[in-house]
Amino acid sequence: MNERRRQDALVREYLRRLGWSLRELRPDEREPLMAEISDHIATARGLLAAPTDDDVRGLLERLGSPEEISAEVAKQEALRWAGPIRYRPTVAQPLEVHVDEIERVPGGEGPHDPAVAPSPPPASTGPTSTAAFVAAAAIGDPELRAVNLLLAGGLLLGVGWVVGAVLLWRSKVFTLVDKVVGTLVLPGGVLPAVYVLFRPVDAPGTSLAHVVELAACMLLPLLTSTYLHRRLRAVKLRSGFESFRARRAAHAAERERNEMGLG
Amino acid sequence: MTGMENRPAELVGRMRHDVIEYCALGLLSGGPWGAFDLVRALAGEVGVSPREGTVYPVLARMRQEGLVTTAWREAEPGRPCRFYEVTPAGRAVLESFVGEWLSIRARIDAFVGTAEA
Repeated sequence: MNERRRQDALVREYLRRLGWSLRELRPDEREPLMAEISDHIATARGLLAAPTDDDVRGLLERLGSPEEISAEVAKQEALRWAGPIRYRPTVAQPLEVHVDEIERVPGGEGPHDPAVAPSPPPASTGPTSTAAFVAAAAIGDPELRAVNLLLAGGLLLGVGWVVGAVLLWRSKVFTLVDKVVGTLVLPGGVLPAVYVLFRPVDAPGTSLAHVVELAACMLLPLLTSTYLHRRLRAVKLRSGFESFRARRAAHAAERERNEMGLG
Repeated sequence: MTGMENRPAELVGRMRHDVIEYCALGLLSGGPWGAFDLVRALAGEVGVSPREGTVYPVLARMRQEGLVTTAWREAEPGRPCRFYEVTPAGRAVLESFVGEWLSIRARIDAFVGTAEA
């Protein structure tokens, strides 16, 4: 019984590290991947009659480390963004995004299990090196919070927007242009739209101007928010790639050291 | 030691990695596969990927590009399993790849002296 619990703990720890290494993915991309790998582990364990701890460790080793999987995700993201390449037919095929994979197989350890929700790994198991780690850590929640608060935070008596602006200007990820755009288009986010919506229109002939004003107040914050989200995603993608390249360079350097007998 | 002797292994690793999606499409062209069996077939020493877990991001991208679709079915009674199936777009990609593959294989065979007499 203790053995089973130890093995469950091994799997939970693996999934927790995997969740952490995939934290930059959107939830609708991360959760299906986590679910598939979680199911894979559950199925592989089910095939073992009386698994030992080493069997489970071997099974996780066959899967690859969370860092290897996240590096592969970055490579595939880059391929997807590069568009149809290599042996694609010349006639454009419709792209179809399937969002059918949110369901979970009951009984397995999965991302919805709070015990394996993404959380920081112990200091010794985090990403190994490079500025990519700094970049990856820096584009976590504060940036997303800033963008969301700039859009809708104004509805919280205006305070939320101010907090979003502070987060935006403190960010080391967004450029000066991003910060200026995020702050000035429009101050208050959607709050001005709410004000325009409920402002009484009494002068004749102002209804068209009112509609235009309302549309502008709605659209501009939405466009700004979309722009900032895209900027954030581009930086994430780049940092994922840098991380992959850094790991590959570190691996090559280590191999070279070993060959020279310095390892 | 110059590191040159590791080149074949690196080359094979890169080539195997780059053809995973086409191997997956090839397997799926014969009919749907359960995710676990598909990944086990593609990974490991006899497969084209050294690690099972790294196949899943490839499959996810193929799904997003519309080359494959997935559906939940019961692999065994009471055990739901995700099945992968190739789409018409995936078949077209595979056909295109097969043509290129035959061509490049013949050219390389001629260069390195492995062409059959």
